[in-house]
Amino acid sequence: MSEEIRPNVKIIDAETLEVNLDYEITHYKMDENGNYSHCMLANWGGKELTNTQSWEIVKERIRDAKEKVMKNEVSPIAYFMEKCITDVSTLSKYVGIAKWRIKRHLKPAIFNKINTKVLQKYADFFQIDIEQLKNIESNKK
Amino acid sequence: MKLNFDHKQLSAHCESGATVNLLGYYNVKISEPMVFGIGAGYYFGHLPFMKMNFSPITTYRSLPGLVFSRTCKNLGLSYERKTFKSPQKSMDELDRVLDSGNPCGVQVGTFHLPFFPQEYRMHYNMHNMVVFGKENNEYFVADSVVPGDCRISYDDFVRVRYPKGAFAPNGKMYHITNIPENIDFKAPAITGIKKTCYEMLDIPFPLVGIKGIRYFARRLRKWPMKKGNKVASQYLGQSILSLEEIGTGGAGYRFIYGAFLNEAADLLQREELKEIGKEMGEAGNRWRNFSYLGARNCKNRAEPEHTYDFLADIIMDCADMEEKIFKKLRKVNFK
Repeated sequence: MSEEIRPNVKIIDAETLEVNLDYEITHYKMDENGNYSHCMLANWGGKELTNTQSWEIVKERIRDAKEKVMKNEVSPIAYFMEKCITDVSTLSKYVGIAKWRIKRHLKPAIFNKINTKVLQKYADFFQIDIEQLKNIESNKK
Repeated sequence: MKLNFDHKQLSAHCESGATVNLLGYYNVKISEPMVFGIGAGYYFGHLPFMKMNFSPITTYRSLPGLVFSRTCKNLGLSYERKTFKSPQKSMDELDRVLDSGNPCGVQVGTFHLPFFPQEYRMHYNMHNMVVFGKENNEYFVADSVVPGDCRISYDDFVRVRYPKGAFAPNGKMYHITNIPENIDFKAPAITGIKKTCYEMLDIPFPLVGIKGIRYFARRLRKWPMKKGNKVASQYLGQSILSLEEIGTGGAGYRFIYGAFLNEAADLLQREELKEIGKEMGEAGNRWRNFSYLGARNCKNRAEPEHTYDFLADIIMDCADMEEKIFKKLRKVNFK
């Protein structure tokens, strides 16, 4: 992606996302005589369970990552990566840094030595500034 | 510049919906199930080696892009479909197409799509929508899931057209270039049915078609032993999501296809198709049954309410039903 493109769309905050159970999508159905019709339907019977679980998986990964960052086992990049629901290979394609380099950057000792230019690449994708990237707690203020 | 475009119907399947909308602009009246049937979108595949949202992919429809291209081919329309390496070029080409007075379909990723409902904004790169105008650096977009017309800015639009990850669209865009005077739906409907029968019954590869459904059931049986209850319920939840939620119209396109068969029966005047359509609906009900019961397993992840053996049996049942349906469908004499 070229340099001058700066999308202003806010990425979703997976950490605090609430599933909207009332959003209606089109459903088709059949009556006893074999005639079909379609209607707008919010819930087919298990929407709440599956949707909530699918976000719960994401949130759990974020919590785990955050704990590890707090214990200084991984660098904050891991936390923000989970927050954007990405893995190393997708992140690598978005920020344009090789996978092995990202894996290296996940170590706290090496993360502290990364220069600003590379940090900016990460920060751009995560839509935060470098200060927040270095200190995940400053995020909340 | 804004084309006189009518966002007709909110549809279940995004690509069929986009195709219906595109055709509607050229005054071709066609319903969503008809597009889905003619484009032979019906499919099954379980791909354990590809992961989405940390779970194996289970797909209930054919690859993105195929429904549109097959519909056009079968109906005898000419179309153009392009991907671009350079975002700049693709946006220029899009402007050119819009200026020539044609609406254009695009494949996008949903993660950065601003007007999309939040809970569907995962890294999912196979969403389709129609662009039909540009004004002051903003594009007008008709999305099959979102009611009304949406606007999206140039920079955001580049971002959603160039997402990364599995099935990255690389700015894929498609539009209809030429349309014949009279379009007959009869022959294309038959072609679509035959194609679907072939894909469900005859592809010599174990992970797709009816064989794929059985393979999926066998894998499902083993998940709790291999991965533990927690991961098993995660995998189950994701396959149910793609079965019910992600634009399938319920029960993984089974109901849409039933609606198509029903419509085709009237079109071709074949009563037996109506029968088969009804059976299709019953198979759909069985799938719905599976997702309804399976979803209960997601509630308490560590202790499943229903055993996975029980759920796998339901899917085996579905496979038997569908095999019967398609064998019957193949034997229907259309002459």
